[in-house]
Amino acid sequence: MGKTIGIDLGTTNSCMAVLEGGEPTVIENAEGGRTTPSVVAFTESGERLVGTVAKRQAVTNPTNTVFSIKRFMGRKEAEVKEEESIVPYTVVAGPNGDARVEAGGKQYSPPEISAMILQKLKTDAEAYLGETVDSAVITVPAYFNDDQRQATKDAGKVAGLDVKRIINEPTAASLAYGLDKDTDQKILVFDLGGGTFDVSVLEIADGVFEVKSTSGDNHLGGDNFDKAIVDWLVKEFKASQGIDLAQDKMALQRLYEAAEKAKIELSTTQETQINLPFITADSSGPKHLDTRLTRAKMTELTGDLLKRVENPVRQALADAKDKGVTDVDHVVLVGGMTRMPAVQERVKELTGKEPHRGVNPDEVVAVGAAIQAGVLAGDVKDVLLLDVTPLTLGIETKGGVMTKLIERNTTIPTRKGEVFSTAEDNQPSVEIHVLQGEREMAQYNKSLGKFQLTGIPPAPRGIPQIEVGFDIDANGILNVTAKDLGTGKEQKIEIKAGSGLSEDEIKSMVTDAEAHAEDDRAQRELAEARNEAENAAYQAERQLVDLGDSVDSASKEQIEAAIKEVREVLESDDAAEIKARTEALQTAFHAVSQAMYEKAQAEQAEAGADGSPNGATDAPSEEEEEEEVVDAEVVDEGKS
Amino acid sequence: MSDEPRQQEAEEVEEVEVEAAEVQAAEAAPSTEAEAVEQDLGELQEKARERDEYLALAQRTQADFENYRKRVARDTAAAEGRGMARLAKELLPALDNLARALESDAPDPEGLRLVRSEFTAALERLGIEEFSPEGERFDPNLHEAMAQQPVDGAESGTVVEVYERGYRIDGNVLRPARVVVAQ
Repeated sequence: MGKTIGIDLGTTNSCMAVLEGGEPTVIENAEGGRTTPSVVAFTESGERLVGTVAKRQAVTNPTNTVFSIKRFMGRKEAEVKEEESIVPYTVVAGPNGDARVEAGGKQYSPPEISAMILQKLKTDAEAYLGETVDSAVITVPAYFNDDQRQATKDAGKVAGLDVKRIINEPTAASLAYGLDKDTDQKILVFDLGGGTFDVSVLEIADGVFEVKSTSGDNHLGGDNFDKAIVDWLVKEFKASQGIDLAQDKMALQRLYEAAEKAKIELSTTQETQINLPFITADSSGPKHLDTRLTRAKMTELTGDLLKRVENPVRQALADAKDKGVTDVDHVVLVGGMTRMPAVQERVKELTGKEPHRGVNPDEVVAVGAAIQAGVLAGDVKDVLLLDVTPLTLGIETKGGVMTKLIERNTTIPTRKGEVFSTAEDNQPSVEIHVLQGEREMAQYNKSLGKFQLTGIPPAPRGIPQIEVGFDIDANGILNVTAKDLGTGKEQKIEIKAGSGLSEDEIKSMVTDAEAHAEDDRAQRELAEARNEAENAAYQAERQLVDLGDSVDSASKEQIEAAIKEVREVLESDDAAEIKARTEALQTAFHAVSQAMYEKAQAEQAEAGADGSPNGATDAPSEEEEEEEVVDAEVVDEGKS
Repeated sequence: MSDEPRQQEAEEVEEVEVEAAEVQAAEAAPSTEAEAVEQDLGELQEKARERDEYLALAQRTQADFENYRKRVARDTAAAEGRGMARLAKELLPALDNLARALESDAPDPEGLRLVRSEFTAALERLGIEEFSPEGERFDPNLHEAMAQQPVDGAESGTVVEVYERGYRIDGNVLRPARVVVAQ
C-alpha cells in the first residue's frame, strides 16, 4: 500500500505534505520548491509543462498557458464570463455547458488540467519519498459546491490518485493547529493568498467541523499589494528622473521582485532599502533606483487593500451570528500575506483575538490535509502520540554544576547514559543528585531526589567509572541508576511522573533560565575553571612524586611554585586569573616533560648507535619512540 | 457447491465429538481442567506481557525517531550556517576590491572587470557557474521569458537578448537566465 499525502490545490500555487512518523512534512517538488505554481502549458512542439517551467514560458505562449484553473472547476461556462475576460487563454462551453479550456489545439475540462498539476505533484512526491503515492486528501474552499467538489475529486482520479477525502481549506488549517482536539470551539479562518481572499467561520463539535459562514473577495491577494508598491516606485522614479519604468518590461520585473522582497522584509523591520542599480538609462547615462520604504508608508500605500479585507470579515461574523455563533474562540491565518503586520493588526481589531502562529501560512493547509490523510490511513495511533520532557534532566557534578543528560523537549520514552568518576582520592561513595531545570548551576534547579552509591574500592580520583543512566518511560516515570563498572554494584531511584510542576511553573523556569543565562554561564565558567585548576595542580603534584629524581631540583621548584600560585586563587571569583595560572602551570610542566623526553631520546639514540649499526634492528627502537610520543600525549591529557 | 453443506455437517460432528471428549476428560480428572485453565491463564499473561513489551518497543522506536528528527533538524540548521559562512568567505575579497575601486579617484572599467571575474571565480569554486544563452533556442527549463518581440533575421523561438545571465549550481538551475525571445 502506498502513502496518502495531503494536497492544497491552490488557485495560484499548490503545496503538498505527508505525515512521517506522526509529524507533517512539506514535500519539495523536483525543482526544490515547497510550493508549485498551479500552471499548465502546452508548447508548440506538443510538450506539456507544469509548474515553474510552465510559468517561465508564459509570455511566449500566453494562449496555451493555463493558470487559475481552480476558478473554472465545476462551473458552467455561462457563470464564469468575468473570469473568462481576465485570462489570456480561451474558455468555451462544453457539451453540457461546462466551462472548458482550449489550449494546445485541444479542449480540456478543468478537472483534466487540475489532474496534470496533481500528476506532477504525485510524481515529485514519489521521487521525494521513494515510494508509491496512491491516494490523497485534497482541500477545496469552504464555499465550493457539490459540482466543484466532484470536479476536484475527478481531477484526483484522472491523476491516478484515490481521493480519500475532500476537506475544506479552513478545516485543514484548523487541523494543522490541532484545534480539533477541543470541543465546542468557534474558529475564524482568514485566508489571504496570492490572488484570492477567503474568510470562514467554523464550529467544532465532537471533532466534527461545521462551516457556519463564508465570505471573501475573489480578486484580492498578495499580487495587489505588490502592485501598490510597484506603482509607488514607478511614480517616485518618474517624478525624480522623468522616466516611466512601467514601459520597460525588465525594469518592471525587477521592481516587482524588489517590491515583494521589501514587503516581506517589512514584516519584521520598520524600514527597508530598495536598491536597484542600473534600472534604466537615458542620454545622460545609467540611472539607479535607490529609495527607502517604511512600514508606515507601505501601510499607507496599501490602505485601500487593507480596507477591502474588513467587510468580508464583518460579513462572515454577522452571518455566523445569525446561526448562533456569537463569539469566536480562535483565529487562524492562512496565506503569505497574513505575515504582514498591518494585516495581522486588522484581523486582531476585527475579531478581538490573537491569531494562532507557528505553522508557515503558505503551507498550513497542506499540513492540515496531511494530518487528515494520516488519520484516514490509520497512521495516527493514540498510544504512539508521545510526550516530551518539558525541562532538562541531569545530575549535580563537581563545583555545583548541573550536567545535563536529557535535554528539554526530548520525546519520551528515552534513555541516556554517561560515565562519571570520583572527585577525591579514595572516595568511598558518590552522591547522585537528580535535577530538573534549565539553569547551569545545580542550586537554581529543582531537586528531584538524591541517592548514594557506596562501596567504591579505594582508588585515585578520576579512576573509578560510575555509569549513570537516565530512563524515562512513556508515562514520564524517571528511573536513575548508578553503577560502579568496576564492582558491578548498582543503586537506583524512581521518580514519579509530573514532578508536580504546572505549565506556568515550567514556563517560568524556562524564562528564568533565559533571564539568567549570562550570570549562569559566568558562574559555570568559574566552577569549571576551578575544577580544571584543582585537577591540574593535583596531577602535577602526583607526577612530581612519580617522576622522583628524574626531574632536576630547579624545575621541581618552579613547578611547585606554579602549583602554589594556582591553589592561591582557587577560591577567588576571577575565572580569568584562575585560567591564566592553570595555563602557566601547564606550560611549566610541558617544558619540564619535554626536556625529559628529549634527554631520554638522546640517550636512546646513543644506545641505538652503539648497539645496532644495521638498519633492520633500528626498526624496533623507532617503534619504541613512537610509543613514547603517545605516552607523552596521554600525560598531557592527564594534566590538562 | 454441493460439497459445502456436507463439509459443514462433518465439522459439526467433529465439534460434538470434541465437546464429548472434553466432558469426559473433565469428569475423569477435575484437576486437569483446572490445569488447563491455569495454562490458558498463563498463556494469556504471557501474551499480555508480550503486548506490553511490543508497545514499549514501538514507543521507544517512535521516540527515538522523533528525537533523531529533532537532531537532524538541528544538524541541518548548523550545516546551512556553515555553508552560508563558506559562501560569504569566498565573496569577501571581491567585496574588498569593489570598495577599493570606489575609493580610487578615476573610474576604472578594467578594475571593475577584474572585480567581476573575481566574483565569478569565487562562485565557480562553490560549483556555481553562469550562462548566457544568446542565440540559443528558448528553453523554459533554463530560461525565463521576460518578453517576446519580432526581431529581423532572428528565428522565432530563439533568445535574442539576455537581460540577466542564468546560474547553475552543480548542474541544477539556481536562477534561470532572463531573456527576450524572438517572435
